[in-house]
Amino acid sequence: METSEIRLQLSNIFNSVFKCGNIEITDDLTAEKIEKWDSLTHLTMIAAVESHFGIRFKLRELTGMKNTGDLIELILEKKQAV
Amino acid sequence: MSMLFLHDIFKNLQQGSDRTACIIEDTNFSYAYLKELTGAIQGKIQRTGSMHIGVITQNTPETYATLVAAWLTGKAYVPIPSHYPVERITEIIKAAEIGTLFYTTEDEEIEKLKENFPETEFVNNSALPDSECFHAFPTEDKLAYILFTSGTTGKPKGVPITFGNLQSFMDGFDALGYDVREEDRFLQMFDLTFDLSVVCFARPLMQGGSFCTLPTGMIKTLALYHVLDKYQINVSLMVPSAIGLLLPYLEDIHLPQLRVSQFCGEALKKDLLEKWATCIPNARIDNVYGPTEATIYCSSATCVPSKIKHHSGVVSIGKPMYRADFLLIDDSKNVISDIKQEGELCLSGQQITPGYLCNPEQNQQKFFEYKQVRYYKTGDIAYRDRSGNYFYIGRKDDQVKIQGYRIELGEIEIAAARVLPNKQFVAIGYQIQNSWYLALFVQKQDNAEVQILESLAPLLPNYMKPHRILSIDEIPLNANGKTDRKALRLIAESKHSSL
Repeated sequence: METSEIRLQLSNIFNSVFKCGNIEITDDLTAEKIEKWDSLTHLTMIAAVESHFGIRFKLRELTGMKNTGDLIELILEKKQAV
Repeated sequence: MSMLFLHDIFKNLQQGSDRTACIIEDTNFSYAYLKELTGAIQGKIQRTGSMHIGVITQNTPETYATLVAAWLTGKAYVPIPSHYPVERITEIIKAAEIGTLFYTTEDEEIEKLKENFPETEFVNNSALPDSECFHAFPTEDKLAYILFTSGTTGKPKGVPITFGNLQSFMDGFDALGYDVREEDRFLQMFDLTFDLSVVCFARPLMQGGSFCTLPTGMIKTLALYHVLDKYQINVSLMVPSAIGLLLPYLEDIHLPQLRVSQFCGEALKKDLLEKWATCIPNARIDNVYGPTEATIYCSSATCVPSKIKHHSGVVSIGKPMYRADFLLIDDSKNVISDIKQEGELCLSGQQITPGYLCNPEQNQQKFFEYKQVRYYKTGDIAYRDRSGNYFYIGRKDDQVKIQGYRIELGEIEIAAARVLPNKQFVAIGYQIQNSWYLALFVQKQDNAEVQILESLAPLLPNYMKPHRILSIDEIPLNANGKTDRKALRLIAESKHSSL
């Protein structure tokens, strides 16, 4: 799976969870830039990502994630391992 | 009454050791450093006339040093988040008569505050000349802090807590037998406007221990796990919803070093507690209860997972603490003595606030005397079992709690009516799984969600903003002709999946 494809699919998930129009998925995208991005919506988004890509994150992986770029990298890693 | 808690904090600061006093933004700060900061801030506080010190709640050691400095100078602190709406900050500054506001980091929000409050003195607490740390020995009737909670009239209510109230709480805490040690590290996950923060930072400082705050910039729930795990927290006080969100990852959590795990601020569900217990094999788990008016918390139930006392899955709030006493009254204000009969829970004892700030009407309504003892009416419905344990059933009014924050639904409705004066609004709190949400119903106003939410932004703090605005043709009424909140709650729950 290509990074560009993951970005596209993440964009759909982000738009559906954070409900704020078309979100551009950049590597430096963080919660500070989206008003509805809090603990609740973050974990809703993570659950949606896990279900969509058929992967499972470890809690320590989630705490180590600093931005959307880290999320994309982790998805790639997990998909390759499957 | 001697303010032993303050003597203990002063003694540990005076020693000025290299031991860690706090861990903030992943950095350790020693008692020696905290002593230096506290002394410098005390020097400045002494030169201000105001009895109440405003503190912008930034996550810095200087902020905590300012709270301690206010106490050691015999003054009260008033926490103010810089992101609060200007109108709310104005009400707080006016009600608490704050002349000086301490802050640490100069940012856009501080700049805006300076513009909006030209008559208030802004002091950067990280840039003050050296001064000796001292102890002014405040008397028990002097105020230690003032917190503002949501009010039904649309204005926040000021709850002043005295040094005597706080000492009584600390005595009650120690009587619970937690055996706090010098090497203990406490979790401090609360906003400073939330009184649970007080025990989280003050109790370890009394013992020469340390506290650890959540790093900013991280998702709060994940920051909580990061701190519990990385900093090997020994004593934690949390709201149940904080771990509710971690439920799908509980199998990844193993915290053998945690020896005290307390919950407060919301109803604690038995199933959540049982799952959490598997992550903390060596911890004593307590459910504690109490409103801001009764100083942090005033009852406690120790929970053994195999025999949890509960009512409909909600864990017991236990028995009153050392210097507290409870009473139940019925709708006609008669005292209930029967076991298991429900009534409004009323609290007495030395932890009870002297009364709301400049609010005689609320003081008249919420406080009463029975057999020459002063009681506070909580608005919580509860009952008592044969062994003296209390069980929370629900609320008498429209107050809800979201992540531990008290929210008067009337305050949201009043703010909304200011945005669209000719419309009828009803705010509802509803629960999905272990999380609470706010819905605001508006009569016949399609596609107005964004407009209403934007207009509410300058009027309400973030935690009071509705998660959803729902348009409805007619507000339903019950058999008594009153708003049918139950029906609206069901609508909000059914529409939640489309969130």
